[in-house]
Amino acid sequence: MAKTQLEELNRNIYDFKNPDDYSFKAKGGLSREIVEDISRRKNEPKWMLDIRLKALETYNKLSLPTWGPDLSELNMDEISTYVQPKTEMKDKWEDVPSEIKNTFDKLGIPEAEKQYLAGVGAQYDSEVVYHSIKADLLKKGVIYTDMESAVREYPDLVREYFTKCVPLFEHKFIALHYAVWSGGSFVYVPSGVELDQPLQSYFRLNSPESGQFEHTLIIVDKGAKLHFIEGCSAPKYNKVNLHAGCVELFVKEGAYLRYSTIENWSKNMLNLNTKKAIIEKNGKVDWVSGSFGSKISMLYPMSILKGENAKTEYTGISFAGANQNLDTGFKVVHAAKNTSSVVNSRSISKNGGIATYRALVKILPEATNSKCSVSCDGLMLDSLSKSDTIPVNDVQTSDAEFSHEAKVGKISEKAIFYLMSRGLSEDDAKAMIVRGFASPVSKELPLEYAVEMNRLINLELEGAIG
Amino acid sequence: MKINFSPVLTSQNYGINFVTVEDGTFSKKVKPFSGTAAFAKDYLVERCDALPKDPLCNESLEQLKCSNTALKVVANSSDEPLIIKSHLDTTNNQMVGRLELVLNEDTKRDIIVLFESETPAYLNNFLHIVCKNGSTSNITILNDLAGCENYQTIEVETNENAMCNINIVDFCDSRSIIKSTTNLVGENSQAHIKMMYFVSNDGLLDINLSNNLLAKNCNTTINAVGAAANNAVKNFRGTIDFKQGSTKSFGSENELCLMLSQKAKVKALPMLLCHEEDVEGSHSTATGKIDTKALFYLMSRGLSKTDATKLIVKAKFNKILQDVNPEIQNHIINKIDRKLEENE
Repeated sequence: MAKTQLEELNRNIYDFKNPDDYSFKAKGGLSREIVEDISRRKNEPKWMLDIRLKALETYNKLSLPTWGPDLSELNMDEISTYVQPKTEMKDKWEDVPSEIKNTFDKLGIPEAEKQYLAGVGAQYDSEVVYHSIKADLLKKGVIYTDMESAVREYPDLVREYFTKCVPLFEHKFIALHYAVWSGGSFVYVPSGVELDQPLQSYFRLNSPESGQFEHTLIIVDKGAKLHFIEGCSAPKYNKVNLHAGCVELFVKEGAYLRYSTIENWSKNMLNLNTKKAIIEKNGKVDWVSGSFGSKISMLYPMSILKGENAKTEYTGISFAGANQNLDTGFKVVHAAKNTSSVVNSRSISKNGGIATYRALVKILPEATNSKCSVSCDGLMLDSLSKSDTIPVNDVQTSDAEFSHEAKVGKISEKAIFYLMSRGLSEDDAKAMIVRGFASPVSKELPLEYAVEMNRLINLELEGAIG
Repeated sequence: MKINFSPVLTSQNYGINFVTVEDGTFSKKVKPFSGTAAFAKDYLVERCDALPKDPLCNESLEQLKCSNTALKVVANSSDEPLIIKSHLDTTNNQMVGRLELVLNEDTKRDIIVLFESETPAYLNNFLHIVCKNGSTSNITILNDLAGCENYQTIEVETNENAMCNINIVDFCDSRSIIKSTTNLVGENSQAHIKMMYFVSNDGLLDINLSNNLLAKNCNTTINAVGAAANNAVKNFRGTIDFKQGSTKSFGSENELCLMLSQKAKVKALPMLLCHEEDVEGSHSTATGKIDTKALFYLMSRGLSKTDATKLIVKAKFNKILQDVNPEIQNHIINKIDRKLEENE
């Protein structure tokens, strides 16, 4: 049977670029002066500047990871850590400068807002340029704003939670993040409030040789419910761009949060993002994650099941093509009784792409009667590519059930034969199998985003299989 | 000192990439050792020159260069198992050994490699197994070492059409560090590594099994079943690595660990590395306690809790035990019984 051949299709919809037009762009590199300047421009309180400076000190002390993809091509001296667009944050799309608005129009954000979102945040380079939320949610006490506004308007709330989920010393790139963070979203959903429609923040990095360091902080209070969607993209440049965002999620007793992400970075991006949730008694967090694009990704969302009966599920897919090294996975710590976690991860690698599933399951002694089930599958589309599974399982109690299973292989010839016997061409049969392989993720997304994800898979596959 | 590194590293924070032992562990000068002997017919004994390509650490390699026992056994076909026994006791209590087993072409042979001691002792051994074309071997390695420091490096090479079954049984109550690297270099070769362990007391068992598929149509499996009791710590690193060129190959890895104590700690890093499209690979691991429903059922049929526990644990171990040479099966079963009684 002929070997599966995949070709790159044009990604114009994501790779279009605007002129590098800004009101301020920090010079490349990282120094105390740059950090202080960012803080001054944001008119921040001293406590936030202190965090930034402490993070800078930590960044300088920590070394690059000795494991995972090679990050030696990252030269911080060439990366501008702060790019201020030529606009302030608006709450009406008409007020956003046309060039930036056109960018988000092409990405379908305003249209999505009209149809099925309860609120939207749109970040362009280092600053949020648009933020809105439906009026009825404001009345219910829901806060959805950019992080800078949150620091000014809700200082006590931000100070209580900022860095408390992801500490600044956790690794080198989170220290970098805290030193130069800019933009991102702040969400607070009060007790008992349930949002029927999702909130979405979209992060677009336009400027070449720059970094995006947005900070997302979400607090879902007791018994509340939220679906938050995060989207990311950037045009392609010849030199590397850097994304080192941070997501801190606090899910209180009985609360529920679904955090969906489609990361579709350009293939010159180093995506070194950190995401973590702390889940209290009877709370639940569902992660849905699609990793497309980027040159290197190191992305391992994490759930800490802190309260009894806390639950988490992770459903993720990554698609590694030529010159891509996507090192992704999920981490979970069971730290209380009767906690449970379910992990379902899929990866596809082609044209020399490297897809790695790297994970941690840790069940602490106090997490009695806990359960964890992990399943990960890798699909190899040629022999140039790599698909590795590197899971760590650390069980510290006898009273827990843990299982992990993984498979790797090519498209089943029997399945192709079966579909062809039902009248499909070989190309269509293979394409259908690949989409079917990704379906556990797409079915977890809202319909419109499942369509978006399938379109991304089509970008990688369609017309190119056979 | 960090030893027994995983072939691929992951985050240092997870504490699984290697195991740490005291500095100078392998720098001790050892006394002469005279406790190794081979028993059987149809074999040749030659001088062993083999040294590990992939040692526990460079210091362990340096010590092995000055080994106090070195034996090369070339096995021919026979129905009678070849037994190589190393007995450590109060006088012969330090063994730095090199043992090379060569299975000649088309040889079929069962081999038992036995390390035994009832008193504290020190063992650093390198076992090199070469399975020549068309050979079939069933090799059981039994570490019956009470209170011992046990460091073992095992390297296996399977050539064309060779099949090598290796069953490693370890009763660790002090320290056992085991590294096994299997290279399937010949087409149509097979290597099946089975491991059964029972780690108890304050024992540390660190297992690092890597099977590398380097040729077409190879078949390899890793199956580990074990129990951790008392304050024991068990680390398991298992790797199935499909190298480029290993088309039409199959690899599978499974580990099951029963936790018999609330204080035991177990870690596992079952890796599946794939650089070839046309292969089939899978792995699974599971950790849990003894099934309380099964325990209840057996006790409702009149068994005591201890006997019911023994039955369940031995049932789990059975898929490894059934391939162990019958000559030592009963010895292992009795040992499991004694260990479970001690755990009560």
